[in-house]
Amino acid sequence: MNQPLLEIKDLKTYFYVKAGTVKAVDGVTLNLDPGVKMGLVGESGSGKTTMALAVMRMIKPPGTIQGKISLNGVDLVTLSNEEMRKARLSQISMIPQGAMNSLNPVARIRNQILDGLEDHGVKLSKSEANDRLAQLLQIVELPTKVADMYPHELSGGMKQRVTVAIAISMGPKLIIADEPTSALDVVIQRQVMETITRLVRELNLSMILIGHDMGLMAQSVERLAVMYAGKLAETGGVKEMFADPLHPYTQKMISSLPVLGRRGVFEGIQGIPPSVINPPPGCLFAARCPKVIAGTCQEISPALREVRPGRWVSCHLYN
Amino acid sequence: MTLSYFVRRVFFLFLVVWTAATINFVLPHLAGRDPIKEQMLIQIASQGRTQADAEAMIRTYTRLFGLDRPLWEQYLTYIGNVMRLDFGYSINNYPRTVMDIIISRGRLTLPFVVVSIFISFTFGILLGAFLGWNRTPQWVSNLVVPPMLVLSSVPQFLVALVLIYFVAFRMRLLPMNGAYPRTMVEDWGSLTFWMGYAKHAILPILSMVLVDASGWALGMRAMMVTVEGEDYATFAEAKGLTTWRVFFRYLLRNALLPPLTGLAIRLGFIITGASLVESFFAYNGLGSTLGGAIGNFDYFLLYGIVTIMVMCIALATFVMDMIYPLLDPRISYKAQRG
Amino acid sequence: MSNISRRDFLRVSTTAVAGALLAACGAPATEAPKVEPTAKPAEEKPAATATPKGPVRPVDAWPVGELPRNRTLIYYNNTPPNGNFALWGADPHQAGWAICQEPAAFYGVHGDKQYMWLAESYKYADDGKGLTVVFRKGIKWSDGTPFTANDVVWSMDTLKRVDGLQKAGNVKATVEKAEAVDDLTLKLTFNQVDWRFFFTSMTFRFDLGDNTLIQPKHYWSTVADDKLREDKFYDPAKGLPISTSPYGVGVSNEQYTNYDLRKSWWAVETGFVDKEPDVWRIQQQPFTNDTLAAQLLINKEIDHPLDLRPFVVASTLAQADHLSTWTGRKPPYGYVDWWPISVQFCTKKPPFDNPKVRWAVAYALNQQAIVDIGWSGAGTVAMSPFPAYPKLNALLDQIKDVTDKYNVLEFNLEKSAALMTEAGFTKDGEGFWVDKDGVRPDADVYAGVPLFGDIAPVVAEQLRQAGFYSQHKAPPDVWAAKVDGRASMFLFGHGGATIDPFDTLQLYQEANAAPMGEQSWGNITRWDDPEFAKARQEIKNTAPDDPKMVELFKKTMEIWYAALPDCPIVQWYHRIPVSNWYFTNWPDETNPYMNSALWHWTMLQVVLGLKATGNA
Repeated sequence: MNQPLLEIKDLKTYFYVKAGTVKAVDGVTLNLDPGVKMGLVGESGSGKTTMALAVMRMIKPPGTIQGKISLNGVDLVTLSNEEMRKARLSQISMIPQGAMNSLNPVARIRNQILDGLEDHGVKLSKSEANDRLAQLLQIVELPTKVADMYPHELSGGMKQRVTVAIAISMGPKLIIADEPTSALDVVIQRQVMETITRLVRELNLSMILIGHDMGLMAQSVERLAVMYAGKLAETGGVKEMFADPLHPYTQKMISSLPVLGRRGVFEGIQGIPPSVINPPPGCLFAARCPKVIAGTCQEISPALREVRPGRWVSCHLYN
Repeated sequence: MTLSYFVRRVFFLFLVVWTAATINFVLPHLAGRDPIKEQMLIQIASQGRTQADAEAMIRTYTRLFGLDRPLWEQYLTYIGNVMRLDFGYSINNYPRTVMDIIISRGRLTLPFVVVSIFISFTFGILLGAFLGWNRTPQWVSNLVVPPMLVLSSVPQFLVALVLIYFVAFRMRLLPMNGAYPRTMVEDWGSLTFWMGYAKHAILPILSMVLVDASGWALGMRAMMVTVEGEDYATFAEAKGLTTWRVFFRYLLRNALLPPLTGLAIRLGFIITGASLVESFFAYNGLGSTLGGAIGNFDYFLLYGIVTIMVMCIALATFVMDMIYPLLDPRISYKAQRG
Repeated sequence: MSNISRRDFLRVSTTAVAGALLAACGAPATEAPKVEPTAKPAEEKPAATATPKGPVRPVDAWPVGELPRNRTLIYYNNTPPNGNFALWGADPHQAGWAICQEPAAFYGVHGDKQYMWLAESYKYADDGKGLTVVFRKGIKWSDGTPFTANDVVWSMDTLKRVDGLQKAGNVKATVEKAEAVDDLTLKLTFNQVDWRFFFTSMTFRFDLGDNTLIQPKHYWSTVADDKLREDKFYDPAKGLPISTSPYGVGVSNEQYTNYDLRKSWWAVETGFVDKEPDVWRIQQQPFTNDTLAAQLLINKEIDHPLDLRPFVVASTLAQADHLSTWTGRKPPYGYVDWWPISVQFCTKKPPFDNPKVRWAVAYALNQQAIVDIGWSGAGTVAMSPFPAYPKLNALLDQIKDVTDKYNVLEFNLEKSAALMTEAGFTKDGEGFWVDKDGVRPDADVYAGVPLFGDIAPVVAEQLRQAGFYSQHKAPPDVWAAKVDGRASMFLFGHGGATIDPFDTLQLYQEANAAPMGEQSWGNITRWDDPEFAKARQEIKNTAPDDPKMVELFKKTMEIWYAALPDCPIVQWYHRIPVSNWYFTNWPDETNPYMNSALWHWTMLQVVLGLKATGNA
């Protein structure tokens, strides 16, 4: 067994624009086992969301996807558009970032939930549909009457619960939650996040949780992946990573947290990340790295290698 | 829909019509011109005749049209006329009544204008949505958008001139002018007549549609791009919906809301909105009549056409107010929302 | 010949002629009669036979249904009257239904031809205070009622009796009494000397005049006086219009008006004309614009437009061989209208109250350059306020000493400047004339009608060259500008004179020369002069052919030229390209039987002159 649920190999998402090639995601390799929750962290623009969209194969031209994304052994990159469409929601689904605005403003909740079922071949009678709606809404702790309301009649937290209900409606294996609580206020954030983690646990799903919030990550995920400028810096178990970060970027990130284990917000590191348009050769963190090895880091791009079991890092320090 | 919403809207409708009607009455009078005298004058000067009793004639007609009475009295009569939709005689077309002119000329252009507005809108919206859609290949936009940019900024009558020249004059495929074949007698109950009318309407409709549809399409294209950037568009795709469901129910449906308001306004100008096109095709419709009425200061014809125009606009806005909450649930029939 | 037998005769003779033609061609006799394209209508002797081309005219039905295009004359006019026009109320000027009217006489100035029509003869009383007119025998109204002198008496009495009727001016001012001596003899008694009444009030010429439109007493006397103005002239339900004319209104709507040949016409029945007109239907369509008119002409969809601008005419002729104009296919493409254009001064408004300033303008204007630039040479200059017509030219030739002394065509900037200096003006730094307060007098040129767009800017520019601070203006309220006296200089035509100068001189009426501050709408320049008024009155009391006329004319024009209330610029042309495809024998300079404008009162004469070609 131990066939990983999701196996990403050398994933590249390039955007070919006038100014050059935007290497939003550049050679990411990542595995995710069934039932595992993985956090994906990194600064804004580091390629987290792009990678999520790439996994859903929702990159629009001029963007391209290269590499391999296999889900349960099926390479998503090679699927036909129609097969990929069907895979969404039934295999992988997404809990979107902008909770306030992720629902169609002119459609009732009922239809927004049923649309997804219908387009995946689920045919329901009126009463079956009502039952299904009630059940889904109940799972996400919403009253049944929400079905007949419009998005503008719901609060932000309620809306996000609706998206969660939609995301699990077809029983997917993998959920990608892209900063699912970022637009909500603190109290609601925790409630929604609790619902999500409960559901993932109850339904035995895998999840990729994208975010900045290291505290949230510490509470919610088992594994952590750190992205920097489109590349994967380091992956590993969340506890090991917090205890012993290997990559200088991860080290800086962890050390800038106020107190480990408490909620806190990642505050960033001196300097600015490099442009991902026509990036220079070498390690992209080199310019900001306190442990830079002169003559090597600026010249040669470090490869991602497994330095301990389950720990992957791309840094010349560990060659 | 609450009753009070309806009542408020109806009241507002009347207020708009009344205000517009009053402005419509006051403005021509501010110019201080005497339409009857001017008409006589042009006759006298162009016929090179002295008219010994021209003064008497002016007096007679001034009395006939009630222009000798105090302004407030004229105003009250006028408001009464507006209520009854009876504007009396046209000064320059005496003894034709204003309503007779409005009906017999309005019906010549109304069918083709309505048809072209709806064709323009439907076609323009679909085309624009298609062009703005991120699944449409880029080369399609590159091919279609530049000519549309040109067309949308060209006046309709220029397109009409080009069409007349090539299609009617050179190739002789379609009639050059007229609302229907001049071997036919106007008979709106006859199918043959409608066919004749339709044949004559092709070029006028085309002149309007080419320009208007381009305008709608460009606007819609921009709206689509905006809507596609919305989170609900991304989420709709993530839901694994079929392409067409995303296109129609999520993207187009939302992008359509602003153009629909535009359509309501456009429909308000339904009776005079094609004045240049109609005049180039010799429809002798209300648009050109309005121009003439302004030039000649034919007060009553002017009152009539403008009042009907205002009523159309107010009515279109009213209907839009009534149906907009059905189209966009965020707008409610209640007075306001948070 | 009775109505029915005549019609039968027509049918028989048409069939016979068609049969003969077919036999000549050796065509099988069973085939339907076909038009022989080589048959030339022009060579046929007018006889009591129908023209052997096209189908037989459907004379049984009225109004007539479809008719062949080659018997339908299509002409462009202003908006058609759409059947709601009233005879007595609305303005019939150029409205296009003149075809339904027959006058006592027609007059065509270019051929100097008078056509006695309903009237056979007329005679003025020896003292000029009366007129006797004898009408033809056998004239019938279209409903069959005989026409009598009583119809004329009733028409004139009504004009006098009811206020606010069109074309009442002359009758009201002059006719003391109208009576029918017998059914055919009309006797008019005037309250003043009038040697022109038959010409000005009973003769159709151009679109001019206070013509009394003779109406059927038996219908109109049933309409109450106060309803006359709004009673419809075209009303199929009442069988209107009733007229003596060969054409009645078949259909009239917003798109076109059909004037269809009636079942019968008195002139054919009495043998006054040889045969019924070749034109079975006249269709009037609304004028849209020059370009469309040209395209329709080229594609043979219309036969006659309104007058077009010179460059449009030139390019239209170049694209179609079947088109011609009054002057063939050469400039100026038209005939002189009665409407010479001048710069009319507001003579009560400084500085144009000073004749010196008015003459300074005259010397500053180069009329030939206006024609050359504005009309590409397709036109002629005007040296007097009169149209260049034979009888008026002859008069002007006899006062050559006056016109040489006051030569408005002289272009002389030095003389212009000298006059301005005499009038107390000096030039400012930019070279514009200023008065002693340093103010540039308003010298804007208002174009009276949009048609002047070709020449008005040239006039304004010439004035600027001469130091007048002038611009070409064409505001929408151009008439108000003139009436209120805002317009110092106004470009407009004037006239009325065709065979004698009186009608033009009449424009300068002292009674209408309102002072500034009042609206002036009768006198085109607000100019008056007691001597001129006296001389004009003498002309009025003198018959046009009286030998005294030359002397009187000289005296009057001496005063006019010295004062120069307006400065003549150009003769006005009607440039009408006509189609010879379906109809030929249009009047032109070699055959000037009538001026060719169909929107004039004289259109019946043009239509009667046309010959069908039978072309498909």
